[in-house]
Amino acid sequence: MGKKLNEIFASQFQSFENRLNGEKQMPVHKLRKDAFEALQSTGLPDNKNEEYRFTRLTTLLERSFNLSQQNPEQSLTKDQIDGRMMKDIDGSSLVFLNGVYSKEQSVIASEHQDITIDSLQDAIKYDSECFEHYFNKTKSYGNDGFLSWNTAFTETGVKISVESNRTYEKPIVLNFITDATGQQFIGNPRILIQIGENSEITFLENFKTIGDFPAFNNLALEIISEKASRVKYIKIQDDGDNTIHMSNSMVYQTDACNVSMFAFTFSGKMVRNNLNVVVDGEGCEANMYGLYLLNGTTHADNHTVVDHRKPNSVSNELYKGILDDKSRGVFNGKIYVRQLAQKTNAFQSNNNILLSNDATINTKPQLEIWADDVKCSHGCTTGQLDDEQLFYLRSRGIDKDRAIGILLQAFANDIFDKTPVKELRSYLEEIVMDRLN
Amino acid sequence: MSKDAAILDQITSSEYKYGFESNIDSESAPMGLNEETVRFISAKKEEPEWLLEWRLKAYRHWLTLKEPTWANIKHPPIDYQGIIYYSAPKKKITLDSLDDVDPELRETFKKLGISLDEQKRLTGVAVDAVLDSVSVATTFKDKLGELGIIFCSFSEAVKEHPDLIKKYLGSVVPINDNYFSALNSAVFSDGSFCYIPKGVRCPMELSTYFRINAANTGQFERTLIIADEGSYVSYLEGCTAPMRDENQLHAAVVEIFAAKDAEVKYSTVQNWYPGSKEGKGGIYNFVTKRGICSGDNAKISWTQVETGSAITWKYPSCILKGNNSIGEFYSVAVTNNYQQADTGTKMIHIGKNTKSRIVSKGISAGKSQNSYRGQVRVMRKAENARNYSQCDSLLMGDQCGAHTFPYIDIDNKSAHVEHEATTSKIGEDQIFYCNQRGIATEDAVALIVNGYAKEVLNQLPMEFAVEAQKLLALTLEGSVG
Repeated sequence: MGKKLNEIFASQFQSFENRLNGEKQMPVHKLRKDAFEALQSTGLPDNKNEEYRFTRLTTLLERSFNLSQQNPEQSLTKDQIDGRMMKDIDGSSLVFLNGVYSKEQSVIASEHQDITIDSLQDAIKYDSECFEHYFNKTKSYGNDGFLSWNTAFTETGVKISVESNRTYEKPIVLNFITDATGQQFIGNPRILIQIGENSEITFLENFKTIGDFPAFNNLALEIISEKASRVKYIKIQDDGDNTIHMSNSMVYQTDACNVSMFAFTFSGKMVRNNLNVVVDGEGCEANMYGLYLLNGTTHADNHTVVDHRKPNSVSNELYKGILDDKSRGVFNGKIYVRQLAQKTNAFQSNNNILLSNDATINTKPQLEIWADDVKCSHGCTTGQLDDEQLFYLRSRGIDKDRAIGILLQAFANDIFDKTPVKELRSYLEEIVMDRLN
Repeated sequence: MSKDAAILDQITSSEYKYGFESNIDSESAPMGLNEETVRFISAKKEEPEWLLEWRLKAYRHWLTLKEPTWANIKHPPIDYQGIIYYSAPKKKITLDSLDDVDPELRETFKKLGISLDEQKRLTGVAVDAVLDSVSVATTFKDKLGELGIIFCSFSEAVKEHPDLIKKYLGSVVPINDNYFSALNSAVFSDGSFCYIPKGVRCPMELSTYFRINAANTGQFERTLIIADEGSYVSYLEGCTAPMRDENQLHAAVVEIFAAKDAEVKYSTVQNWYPGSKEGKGGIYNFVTKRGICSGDNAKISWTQVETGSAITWKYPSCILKGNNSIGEFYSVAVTNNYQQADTGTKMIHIGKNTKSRIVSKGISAGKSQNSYRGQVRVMRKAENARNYSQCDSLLMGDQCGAHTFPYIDIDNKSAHVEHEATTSKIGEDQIFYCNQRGIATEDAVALIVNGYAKEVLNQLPMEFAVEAQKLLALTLEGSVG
């Protein structure tokens, strides 16, 4: 992260501002400016940064991208787009082309008609009051350079508001289709979701890149979960080999909320997920599940933080990884229990299986506790498949590869079992079976 | 709840038992650190030229380093120029018999409960007592000498066994290892040296008592233990320090070299002055301890009971280089009042079939912060490495903190690594169970804490285990309800 990068950002921000015209007067722009200042002073994290020790994202970006280049207009055909959608899932399907919400391509299920779905630009323009109330509410999370970058250049993405007292059976799928057919793409999409009191809904996030040029999506997701709401958010990362995905997900929980976050990582060049959950209410439940099934040279890094600020809440975390070839998995789970948060129960577990000697796992489960009346634990294991279990299967006439497949699937099933959407479960199982055979 | 408060109050009022200062005239280096200081120390100790060069190299390297800030501790900046780097008791002591030892010094040891003659008569422990920076008494030397075991002060070893020192000094903790080890390498004043020859099983526990005595003297100990092929030694280190108002810096280095089939057991009970209950004063204990299992089937075992010091920064580590070598780390760290501890271990698996085990028990009370920080690293060629880590934290009161930072880095698929950690307080049901059977709350707490730490205390040699239990009780006197 040199001076050079700062200059690039400065000139980009300048031209971004010029393009905005009147919007510069809006309060949201103040937030952008603050984020820009933060980005200029902290820069993107380099490999001396403890949080990015194993994930040299900035170096990779500088090497793979021409950061000062402008993004092209997307030029995707309908067929190309259709081919990348999450199929077989009964629900609404939102389409984002290079981060821009495309109403024409999106299909809203009848059940979801009363949900407000606006492109971020519209939300900024027409619903600024509500927008400002929720936007960047969770920014207290440290000074991650990538988050500052996203906030400074916030323009594309979506804002979704769910009214109070609604229960939706079907999921909303967010399909982000990136065009890297002609040249590289760098995007800063932003998703803002607000769930009203006592409502229940499920989201599914799907990022796909078309084309072989390098693509970088620097996503920021905010979920504000009002009293007694139930939210499930599922990320599926199965993107191209030249794609880098960075995501900062921030979840803010008030009283009696139940939020479950899922992260499935299958491919991509480098994937980094920052998941920050703030439990700022009593009687909450936060669940975080992750599965990374990696091969090739894929690098997947999950950094999660759950911050218990109020008493009587529960958090569960289970991340599992299967690493093959030259892949690398990084896991860092932090549990903070503040002094006020008495009677907190927080559990965290990370299990890994290495299938190759070239694969690497760096894991760091971390507890920071300031309250005494709590039950917190973390566990972490790394190993290979049990020879005895393999022998058991083989002695019953199952060949070795198949036996390995069965054991690995059983390992992954702990996560699949928790996955809410039925069609999704079979979709995921298919990916895993394909991979393992 | 009011009982809890009363008991918590009681613990904060428990005074440091070993606070006293003995008046022995000492000859000190001028305050501050520069090349002259390093030369002064070297000259005082009549060291050979190569050692002076080694110290100067370390000093020059130290100048290029910055004090590390990654540990989970807070303290005002240390004024390295405000420290006296060398002080030695003035009277030269000859060691023909114990009667020659300065009576005042013997009185000091008596207060510490380690009177030399008693030790000699009853316990069969050879004590190389270190007061400030010079070893003043060495016992059982002859007996050990018969077996070829060398156990002496570091400066004596430099004079009498220069080859061994030259070969092994800095081989486990190089001078450029970290900030505090570089500082230690430049200005180390004295310490202990121990060599166990091939195939010898040391018949007694070797032990050293460290004491920081003269005001404003940083103590920079250097310990080097070499266990040659097939040998065994159990080494004990115990510390108490008199009461002080100003913070004192202690940056020691311990190096252990275990050759093929050798086994070294290193036990520490650390009870330096933790500062007043307002968090004033106390020792800064920034120690680098590392052992290498250089040959096949070697074993190094660290056991520590940390109850003292205002700040503890200490990570006894094992480099498991030989095939089938074993590393162990057992720790109980207790913090109270404003104490801060950031302690743990590193297990570096390099050889095949290497095993390591980590058991860490943290107890935080008062307004203290207690962190476990450890690393388990399995290198690419380390086939069939095994590790089991367990870190538990016990919190007493809602003003303290317990933190766990385990780093697990695996590069080999056959590795089998497990890590477990829990944080909790003493259960009301446990207390209730004891109360029901007529055990008072305070006794119940002592009982539970002792049980909690038992796994580690069991690893200590007998005479240390008793002392450690006493210390634990003393530090947490009536602390919880």
